[in-house]
Amino acid sequence: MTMITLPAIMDRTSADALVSHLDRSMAPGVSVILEGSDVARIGLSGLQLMLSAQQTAQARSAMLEVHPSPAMISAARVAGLAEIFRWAQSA
Amino acid sequence: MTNEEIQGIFFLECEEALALAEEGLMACQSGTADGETVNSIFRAVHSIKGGAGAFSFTLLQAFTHKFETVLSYVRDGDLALGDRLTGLMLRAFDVLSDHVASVRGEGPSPDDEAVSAELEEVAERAAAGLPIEEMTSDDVGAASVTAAADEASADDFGLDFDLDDLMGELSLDAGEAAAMEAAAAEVERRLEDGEAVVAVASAPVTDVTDMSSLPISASLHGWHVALSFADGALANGNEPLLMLRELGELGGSCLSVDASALPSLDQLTVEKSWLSWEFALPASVTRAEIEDVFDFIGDDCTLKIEEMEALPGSGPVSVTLPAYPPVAAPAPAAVMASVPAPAPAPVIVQPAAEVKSAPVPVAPLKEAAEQIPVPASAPPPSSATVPATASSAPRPVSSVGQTVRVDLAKLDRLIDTVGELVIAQAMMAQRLGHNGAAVTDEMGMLDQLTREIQESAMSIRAQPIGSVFSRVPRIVRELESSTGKKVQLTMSGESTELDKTVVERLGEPLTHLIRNAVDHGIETPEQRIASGKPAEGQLHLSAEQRGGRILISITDDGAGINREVVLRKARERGLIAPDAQLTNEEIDNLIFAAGFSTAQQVSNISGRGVGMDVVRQNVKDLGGRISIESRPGEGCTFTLALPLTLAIADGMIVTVGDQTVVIPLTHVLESLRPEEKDIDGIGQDLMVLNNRGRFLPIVPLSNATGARGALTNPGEGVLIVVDTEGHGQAVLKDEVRSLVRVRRLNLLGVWPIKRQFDVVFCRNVMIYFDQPTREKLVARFADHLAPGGHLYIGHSERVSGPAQQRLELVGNTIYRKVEA
Repeated sequence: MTMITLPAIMDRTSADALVSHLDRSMAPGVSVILEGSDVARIGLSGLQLMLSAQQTAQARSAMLEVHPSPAMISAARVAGLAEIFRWAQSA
Repeated sequence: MTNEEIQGIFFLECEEALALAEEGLMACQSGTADGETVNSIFRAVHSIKGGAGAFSFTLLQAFTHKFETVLSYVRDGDLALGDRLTGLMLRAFDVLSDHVASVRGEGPSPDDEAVSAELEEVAERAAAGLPIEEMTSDDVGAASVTAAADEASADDFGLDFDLDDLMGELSLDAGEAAAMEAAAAEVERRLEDGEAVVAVASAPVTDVTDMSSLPISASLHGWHVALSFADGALANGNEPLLMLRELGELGGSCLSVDASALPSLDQLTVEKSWLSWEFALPASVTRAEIEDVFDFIGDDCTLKIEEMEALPGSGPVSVTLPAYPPVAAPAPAAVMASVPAPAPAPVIVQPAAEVKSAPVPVAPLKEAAEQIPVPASAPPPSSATVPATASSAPRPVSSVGQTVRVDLAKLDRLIDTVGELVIAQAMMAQRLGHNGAAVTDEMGMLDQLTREIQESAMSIRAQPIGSVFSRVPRIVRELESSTGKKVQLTMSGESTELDKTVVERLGEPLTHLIRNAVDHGIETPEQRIASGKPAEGQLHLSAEQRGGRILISITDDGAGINREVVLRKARERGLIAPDAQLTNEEIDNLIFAAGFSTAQQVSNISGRGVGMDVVRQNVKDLGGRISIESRPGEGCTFTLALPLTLAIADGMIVTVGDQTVVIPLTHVLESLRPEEKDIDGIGQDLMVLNNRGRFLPIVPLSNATGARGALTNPGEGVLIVVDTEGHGQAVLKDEVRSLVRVRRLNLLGVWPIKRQFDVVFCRNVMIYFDQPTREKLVARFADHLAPGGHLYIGHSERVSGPAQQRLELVGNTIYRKVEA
């Protein structure tokens, strides 16, 4: 199991730093937990990363579990993606 | 937001863009540039151009356009980066900086004629497929100055590229026209078929399809907005989510999202916007209001706003997800995982990534669908879901803006008040102490909180030193070209913060030191090679915080200070006695003497001897110190030690014999009562303290202050270890009395002090003022003294003016305020 704590600000810089880390973590059968409760601000870069991670995990048969913060849920709603993310109910 | 405020934001963005461009250009110069570097320079210049156009700064806009054209050729690989081109780009950057300064009202409009002509020339060459290296600098001069003479040769290749260019434009126009027609035809066909379909026209950057020509219903019930963001939008600092949020605030609801182009993690570039959206907005909103949301993003957003007959009911957002082939199994057949929006009808969405490569709208739908395999288990949107209206989303304050602009006067008032608070707190603690009250936990807490408030208030005024450092590369470039020396500049600690006033006043001394290092320190390439060094000199500029001070150092790897020459010059000019024996350090410090210069020839850069003494004075005025460390043949380091803030300084009151002295706490590392074993004698008078293995010279404070009856045996007194840029020094004094705080007060400005004073010491200050000012000051003192309070002035001063009625002389230079 891999647990990754998402940074407070999920902007281009931090999303960029996370891509390869997430990519390496997503192996078939591996369980990956993204702890997002610290995320106070998330931009489109961050949301795109979350969506790509979700779809990638599915394609690779990895198990992804995301615990979003209110800021993440709000951003997803703004972007019209609220129903698409299969995130855990509470942060 | 007023126009000025918006313009202010543009200027801030210009600063950021210039810094980015400069960073990129430095990489080009050092040979570490890649495709992305040039791209980032291009984006920076492009964003300045956009803003310049919006605010009608035509000169700036025209110049950025020429610069951008050349950059686009470099980016596309039509021009190879060489010394010549890099040099041109750097010069163009300098002119661009001047243009920006000019529109900000900080300087005259620069003369960009020569650089503009060269940029145009290079762009023409690139368009003609000619390499830039073939053109000598003589050619450029001739081309820009005597255009007529070059006409014949220009014609030689002019025909070729002009035609090609023209053909290119024509074919592009044809392609765009075809795209428009195809789009219009497709939409019309679907409309005839009874489908209320709206096509997303994705033009290559500019708006191609004018949808207003399409047949639409006269009854307007809302707007359909389709948008996607160009590749560079995020990199240019735009945040699409903020715009989507604003659409939500206008009453918009998201109809669909196309995420089909979003790559899997192994291919994901987060800097690109991979999604595109469709929103529905109510008719109560005007088209202009919608366009306003995207006002500042310009070409980075492809926006299509159309009228629609009916607003869709609230329903789930249709999202087209990307689907990646399962790792083990081959990809299944292609199906769009799109769920149609309930009303008015389905919407055609096109992958954002296709924008550039697919000038014909609508058509790529099929291609896109074919490329997308079915997702293994794309979650169907639940029917009982909350509509994705952004207006229903909570709106955290932080997302609106990360900064607040505050009038400096307001800020200073806050800092003054905090200063008062600090003093009041200290006075209370002192009074409690005098009355024998034990220091309670509450007092400790109050002290801690007061300090925190003080530090927070100070940090508001703090600015990163990078704003000063950012000017340095240009200074070095100019020096390189005027001296013929080669200099590699490196910087560190740009994010170190210090007081705004210090940052603002640091520019001048720093410029002097940089000029000095390049002009005097670093040798010519020939000299360097002869002494076995690389031809290119190194210059390092660094900033760091150490204790309560900021250390800024400028290090070069030049020849160092030639002490023989310095000593000879100093003797020649009578700065020192002919037989004076000086230590190396003392010799080095002679360069700070007024009127000192060792330069053989006075250049227009330095050598007039009006530099270093002014530098030292500037640094002193800021409450700082400057020191030199010279290594003959290896280089030289100048270190500036500056206070973090000028507003408040903590002090330690100590008693030395019959005197009381305040030592600024920023200099104090520690105070201790030494044990006998820690003290060693060296020679006749000197004593040193073994401070955890470091030997520090002990300097009796009475030597400096002339105090009588002071202790001489370090074992009996208290030693204070003070910081002098890395060299510690222990100061001996009798007793640490208490801590006081010392603040600056402008006697003629507005006094932040609200309370009345029991005593005012103002000795030998009034002598510097004229008579009316003295009288005014005396009146102020009288106003601020409590009845019966005392005023102490200097021996050569006297109390004058109307206020002397309120002050009675009670002793030599001592007055008492008459009881009311």
